Amino acid sequence: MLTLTLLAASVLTAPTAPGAGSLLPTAGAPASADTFALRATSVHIGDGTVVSNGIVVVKDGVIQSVGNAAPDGVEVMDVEGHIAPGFIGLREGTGVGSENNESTRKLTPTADVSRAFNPEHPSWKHLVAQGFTAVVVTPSSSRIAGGTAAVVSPATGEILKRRAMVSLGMSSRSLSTGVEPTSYAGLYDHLSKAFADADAKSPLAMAKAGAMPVLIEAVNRAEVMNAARFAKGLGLKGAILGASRSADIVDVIKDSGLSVVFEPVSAGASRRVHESALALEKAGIPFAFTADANRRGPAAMRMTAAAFMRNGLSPKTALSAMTQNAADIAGVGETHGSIAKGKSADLVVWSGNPTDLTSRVLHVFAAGSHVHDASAGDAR
Amino acid sequence: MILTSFLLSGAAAALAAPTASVPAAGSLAGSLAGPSDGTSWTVHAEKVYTSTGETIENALILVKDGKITAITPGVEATRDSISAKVVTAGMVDASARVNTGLTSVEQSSEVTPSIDAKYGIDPFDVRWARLAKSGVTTTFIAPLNQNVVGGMGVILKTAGAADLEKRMVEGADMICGAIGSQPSQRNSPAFGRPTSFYNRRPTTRMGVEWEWRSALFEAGQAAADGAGKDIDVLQDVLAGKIGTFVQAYTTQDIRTAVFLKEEMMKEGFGTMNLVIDCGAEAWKEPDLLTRTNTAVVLPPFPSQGRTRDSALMPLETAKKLRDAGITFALSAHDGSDTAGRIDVQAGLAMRGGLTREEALRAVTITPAQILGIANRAGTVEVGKDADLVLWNGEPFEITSRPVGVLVGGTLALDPR
Repeated sequence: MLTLTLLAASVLTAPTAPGAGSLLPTAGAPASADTFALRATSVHIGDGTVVSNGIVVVKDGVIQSVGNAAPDGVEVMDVEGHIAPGFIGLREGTGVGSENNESTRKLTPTADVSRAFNPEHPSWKHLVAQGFTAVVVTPSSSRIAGGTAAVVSPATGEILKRRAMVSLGMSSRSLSTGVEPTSYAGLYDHLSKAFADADAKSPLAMAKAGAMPVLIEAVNRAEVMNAARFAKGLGLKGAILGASRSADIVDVIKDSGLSVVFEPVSAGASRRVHESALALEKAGIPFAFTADANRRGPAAMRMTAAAFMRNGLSPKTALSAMTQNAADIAGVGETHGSIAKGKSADLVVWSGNPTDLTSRVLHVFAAGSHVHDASAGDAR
Repeated sequence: MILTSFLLSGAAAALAAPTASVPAAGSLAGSLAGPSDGTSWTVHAEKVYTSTGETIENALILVKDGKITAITPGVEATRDSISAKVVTAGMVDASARVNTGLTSVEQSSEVTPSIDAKYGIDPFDVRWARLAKSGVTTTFIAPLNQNVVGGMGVILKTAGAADLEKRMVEGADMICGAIGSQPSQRNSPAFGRPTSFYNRRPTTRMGVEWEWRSALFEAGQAAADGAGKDIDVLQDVLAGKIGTFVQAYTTQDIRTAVFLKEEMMKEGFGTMNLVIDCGAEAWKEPDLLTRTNTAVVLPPFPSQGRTRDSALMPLETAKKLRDAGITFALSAHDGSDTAGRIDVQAGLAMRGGLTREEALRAVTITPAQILGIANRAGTVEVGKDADLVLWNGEPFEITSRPVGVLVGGTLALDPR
């Protein structure tokens, strides 16, 4: 909630901010060309450090500085609460429907899922209200090489990065009778051939060269072990999505150099799922979560983090998983995922600690634009 | 019906059987700590059936780093040894069906020789532990029988490392396929669903045989090099370098398999190394099998009259194969028939007329020879893998069961 101090002291005069009470740029307005600064009780940088009474300075949608001071002439708006980087979720299908599933073929690695992204879908605002400023839209799990994933902003509708990741389905979800291949052996056969035959600069060739990360869906331990070995053999970089019971094969994952993306977990999930997260944390393997808001609701990712924390995951790792680690896995870690100079001003103002389930989202800024104001009655 | 009631009462008896040969828990526990890798032990048995024809009494078997390093006859158990009434070699199931579902076989084509079954195997499947506890220490896993030529099988230990590569055993390379109704069962005729590849696959036994013959002819007539992965495999199959493991339950299907081999020989393509899997009616064609030197892996004895594909397999089947001099192994297959355990199959074969020694060989050294792993498995001899079954009584008696199992020195079932 914004304080009276803010109302009185702000010098923001953005012409696009005609909002009655708040002098923050109005929700829904384009990125402000102006400079503004926010001061919060705590600023969670995203790498584990927390700046008390931190000030974040934003100019032209980009973070200028984070610390305890603002440049002369820039008025500082106080917010009561915590500022954290916007959440980033892997795999999101809101508004995509079945447009990400080219069901006649199992391998269409050059397909571009950003063309299935509908920025106008009404549900995106629910993700924004839960603190999401970026999600990765992926081809369907039922494909083997369904195309390239894209990083998009649910808040601004921008495609932040198309052809961000090569999406590979290497689990039984990608196999069905009726479309070739129908077996694991066939899957590996086709995929090996597709990588071998890939034209230079095509997504698979780029993945092999380490220039484009992969997002490999592999669910059970046998699938994860086979996929990790396959990725290592080809020198692929990226993450395995779905390796939820991997505590005893952490060494194989570590050896592959891949990160992990967990699917939504509830508080009552198997002990082995929780042990996996702890084992990965201990082994120093970065992991993130899927958003899956279209299936599990916009709060599923936060609930997943909370469920893991309830079983011993550190809040620091949980927040990294929802921010910087996710950005790194999606290949946008240089520009997104933490509150640092030069990065996109994707900021969420929380009523309390962002990993605390009792905290609420008060404001969301996407690329410096004030896109959500809870007090204005926006969807939450 | 008689069989069923026999089994039911037998199972109850087995459950109630006291494990008198196993020392009471706690008496040895303190001194039994092996080295940290848990693959070194001493095992004492009143009798060791070695599968070589020899029985060693009061033997102390020394296991070190997963291998049998010494066998000392005529000695008492030591303070550190694990004791059993009888010890045999770990059993070998040449036709196990652990975790081979529809994703183990590439159905988009009916002939897929270069497909590798290993990708379809889940080393974490709970059935591995069950199999190990039943005394099976080595298995041959084939792709599911939905294809004419399904792909390469894998020889695997049933316990040990979770890592599949570490559990694989180097042995005979064998291509796996089927003759009979299985590969054609689910396919539709040409006027069926037009969008599916199933409608171009064989729908009859005749069609299945034609697919085999056409694939082998194509390979036989192709250039020796550069004709592609599938052809390379089939050329090795024709030359006998890769074995041919063909599921054929019925007389007509067993004939088809043998005739195919003979036809390929006549064409000058080579001598295939044929093994009949699930050869329930092999006993009806002894001459055919002996003249082509074909080994047989039997399916489980049917509990309800007939096996799959309606083949007739009486209890005398194993005895008849023995009398004809045919190499045969017993198998619990997918574990769905007749109590699902390989020791029960051996017991039923004895009921049909095999001696205990013969039944033992049919679940140990013979399948090991068929799989080409007799250098490592199949007998209790110094230098072999420490694959051992510890019994609470005479093996294959209805009141006996494995109470301890070592797989490559790893204690998969602890008798203590």
